Amino acid sequence: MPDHWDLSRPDERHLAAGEYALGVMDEAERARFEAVLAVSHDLQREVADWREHLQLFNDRLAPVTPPPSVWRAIARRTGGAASRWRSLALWRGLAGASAALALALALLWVAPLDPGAPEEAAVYVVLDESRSPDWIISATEDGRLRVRAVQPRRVGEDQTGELWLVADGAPVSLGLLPDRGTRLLTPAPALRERLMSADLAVSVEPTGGAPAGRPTGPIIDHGRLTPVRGATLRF
Amino acid sequence: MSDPSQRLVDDLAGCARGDHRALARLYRATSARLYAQLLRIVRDEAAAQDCLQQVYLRAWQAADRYDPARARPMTWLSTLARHVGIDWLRRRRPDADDDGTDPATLAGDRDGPAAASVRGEDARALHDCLAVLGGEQRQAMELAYFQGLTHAELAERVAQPLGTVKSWIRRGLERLKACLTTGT
Repeated sequence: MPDHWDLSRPDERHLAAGEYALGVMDEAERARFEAVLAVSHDLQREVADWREHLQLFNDRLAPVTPPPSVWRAIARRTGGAASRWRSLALWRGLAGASAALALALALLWVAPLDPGAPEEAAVYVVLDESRSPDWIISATEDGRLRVRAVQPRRVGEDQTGELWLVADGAPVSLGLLPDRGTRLLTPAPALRERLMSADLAVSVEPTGGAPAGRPTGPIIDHGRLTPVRGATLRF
Repeated sequence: MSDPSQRLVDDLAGCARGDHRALARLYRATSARLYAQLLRIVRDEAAAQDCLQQVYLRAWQAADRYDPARARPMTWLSTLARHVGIDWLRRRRPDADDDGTDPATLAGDRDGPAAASVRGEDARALHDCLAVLGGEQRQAMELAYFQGLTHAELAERVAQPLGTVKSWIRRGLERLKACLTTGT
């Protein structure tokens, strides 16, 4: 048996991949192997195949149900379950907010001015996880929301985006977002007062909106309206 | 699609989008198997529970890097669990040499009726390929797989020359591969 594998020979390469997947290589061998692995698709596939083969050792273990405390800790630490909406403010941090603001300002700069449209007093750009804009939400001076669809990629057929105002941890629907074009949302006066101070969030919901008036789908983004410099807020 | 493996692929994709319900489904479908695996590796209930938590937190964070063309979802999760469990062992290995690793009991293992039903869902296990392994080969491979031991560490653990252990592993791999791919 060779002390070192000759990785240029298919049969040796294959067994070396098995030893690597099993984890028996010493540090020097592993480093040598990984140098080739990084550039060889064949070797990557061999290692993947061996990982599937070695699953045999796991498959024969009798499943054991873990205690419920494990899931509770996971739900808490991923911001799931009850804490999901309350932790929104901490979710993505300030980096996302400033990126949204920079993008919002850039988009406003190139958007042609429509003299007939009401003044934009504040904006919030809804970004998906790739930081691409899905919608631009502009608040008018009197607290109505003009929503322009950019490319809402996360919303599939039979689905819609829904905008929520999150106050005291409880989401309240502000309305459904358009797939394309522009839509004007008119929140109730009591909600308008809170628009500037509350978190907004967008979730994916079935067509027609969240059935029980509470969000059910994944959150695409959350953030706040940012006042446009020099604008007057009358809500 | 009702293929359980496809459902796991969908749930991992859901996790990548930040869908907490997908994570909950993934946990319900896979946690008992990963917990059994971690118990086998760390052999301590509290530690296995901590590790299990780590596995799902990592899966949640790394789900966008899961590629169904490269690994089946259960294999991807098991690989994650194995890394987390073996990391835990390594961190405490200096004072863990006397942790009661008895190759004889390890080779016995728990292999009750529930294990048979798990195997049943898997076509490749219709033929039990572990049975083609010789006792020494299987024992050495299981020690390596579940304890994260290198050739040299294995040789020390089972008190055999390095070359002997290397050839057990090598023949074990060859036989396993032959059985899994051609059924011989």
